[in-house]
Amino acid sequence: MSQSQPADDRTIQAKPGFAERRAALRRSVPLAVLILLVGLSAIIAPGTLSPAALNGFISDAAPLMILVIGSTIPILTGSIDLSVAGIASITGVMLVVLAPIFGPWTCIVVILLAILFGAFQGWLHAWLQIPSFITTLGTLSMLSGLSLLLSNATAQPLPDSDPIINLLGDTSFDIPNTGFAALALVAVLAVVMRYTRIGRDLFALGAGERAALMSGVRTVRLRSFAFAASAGCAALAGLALVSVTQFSSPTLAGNLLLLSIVGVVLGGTAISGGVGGLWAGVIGGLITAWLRVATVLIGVKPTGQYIVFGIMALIAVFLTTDRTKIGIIK
Amino acid sequence: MKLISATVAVRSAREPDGGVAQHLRRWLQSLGPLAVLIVLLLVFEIARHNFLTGGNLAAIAESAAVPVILTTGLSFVILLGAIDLSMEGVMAASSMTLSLLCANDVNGNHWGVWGIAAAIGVGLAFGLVNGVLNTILRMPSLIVTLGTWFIGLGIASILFPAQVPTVRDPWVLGIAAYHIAGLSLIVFVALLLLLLFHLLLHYTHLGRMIFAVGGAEATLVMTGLPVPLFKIAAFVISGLLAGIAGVLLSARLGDGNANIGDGLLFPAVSACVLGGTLLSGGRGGVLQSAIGAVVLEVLNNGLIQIGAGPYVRNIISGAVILLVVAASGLHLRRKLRVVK
Repeated sequence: MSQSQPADDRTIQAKPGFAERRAALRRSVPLAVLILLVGLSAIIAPGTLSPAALNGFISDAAPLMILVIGSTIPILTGSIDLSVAGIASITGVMLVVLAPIFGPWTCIVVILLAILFGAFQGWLHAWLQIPSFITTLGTLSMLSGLSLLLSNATAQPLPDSDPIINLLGDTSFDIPNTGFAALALVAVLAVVMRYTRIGRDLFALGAGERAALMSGVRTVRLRSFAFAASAGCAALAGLALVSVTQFSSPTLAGNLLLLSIVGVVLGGTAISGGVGGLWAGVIGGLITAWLRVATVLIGVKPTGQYIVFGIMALIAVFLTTDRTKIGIIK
Repeated sequence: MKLISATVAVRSAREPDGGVAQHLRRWLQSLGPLAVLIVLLLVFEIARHNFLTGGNLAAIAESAAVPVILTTGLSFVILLGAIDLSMEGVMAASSMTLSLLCANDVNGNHWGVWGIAAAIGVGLAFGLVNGVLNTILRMPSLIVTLGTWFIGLGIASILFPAQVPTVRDPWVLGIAAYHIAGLSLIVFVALLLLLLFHLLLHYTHLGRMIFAVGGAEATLVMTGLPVPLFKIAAFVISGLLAGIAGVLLSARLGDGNANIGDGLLFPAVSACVLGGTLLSGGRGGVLQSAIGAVVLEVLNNGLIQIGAGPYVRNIISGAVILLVVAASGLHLRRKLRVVK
């Protein structure tokens, strides 16, 4: 299963076999789709590539991309995190609730809380061996109840003096800062995934869990890390979202659950685990965000976009799922 | 039934801790949910004193009717070891279909009973698509039904006209308005469906095969039986019942609504697990799941009566399901067991 270890591909390339060619295809097709999409929409409506439109795109795409990158990490291990949209929603609510206590540090506290929460649910899933979809569906229900409860189901204005929110909502060099935040996140995670043991262990876990376990990968700890990273990213995405709207709403990110999963699979990360990675997450996030723009261009009602994304997700999963690894498909 | 007991026997042979613990667990799994239901009823009666009145019990029956229908359908899929997340989308699509085809205040359609049939047909079609994608195209049911969930929501919102379509059809409105012995027809429809699908599950070939797929799918494939057909049938049943639930909810509300199923998926999954229908498949049944659904509704009703807000329900049912899934799978924990 050499396509699951991108690092080794260069050495094998001397004699490309079927699996290697498939892996190369898997990496290049999403990028080609992205370029095609951007090109097509530029032909239909040339205005989409103007600086102002691109800036609008960046502030629209950054939260989604952060969310997709976060969701990629548990999916790489073969698990799935359905709670990311719930965490992104509750972030804004927590910001309002905790601001009187922590003052300027509220954002940091909220992100740390999210990371702790993610680590806890990852541990719960791995240590108690509860399927990840039901664990995170359970926490999603709890989070949405909690955010409705804490906010009394109303949208509230953010405390206007929060330094991090103001920074995220601002622009530098005329480009929204949320774009830079997404870039910084990618850089940090890229270093972790490429140069630390954690990164390689994540792929090992996704490619073959029993083998990984036998080779000394600490699976429970690693899963906790994966879910902590995904929750941390979700919280950051939540901050980026509220920095644009300046309002916290308990159902802010409700529709982002599907988009985050769609982004992951469109980038070429297989739902079966072990295949894909950070780069795939970045491309997938960009494709999804651009699709949102493109569907509006074609004239699909914003609410009707669900159909497009649902079908895209089904096609991408059909193409990327590694059926030999799952055996019996449930 | 022989096949089921065979798979159960294989399972218990694999488990080292037989004897008393085994019996206790089996007993807890079958009678536990019912005991929980009785304890809850008694606790709330002691706390509020007017809990076990006819009026309140009727209210619980009314609110439990649709969840019972949903869990009945979902149980078939969960018994396979698969999952169906699409019900909220299916209900949205079926509700919009119903309200636009029956007599309404938006367009001139007057399909009457055929409108109800079309709405249920939408649910059936969704189930069929889910089943085909899962079995023929070999995609995990989790992600297939996540996709169709949102496709259903999308279809509902595209169908949605400029204003909320109010249903004017006497047939449809009659389902919710006509009462027998203080209970609306919705409750009786739910009971009828529960009975029907209980019989289907336990006294037909298809029902036995669904248990068998959940117990040992690999073995069943080797026997040469048309396993994909059984699996598609389970998904179709789930879609069908979600479609019916969409119709009943629209009848109760009196209009078509794309958000009609919001927040019903998770309690339905919880109810199945709570009632003893294992997510790993092969064990449980529609009656157990229905008891789970009633337990959740009693809990909900009781919590509101003792003054907890409506949002606490989400938190409690989330916590309950995590506890129950953890407890029911605890004995299966192994160092090398892979759970994704």
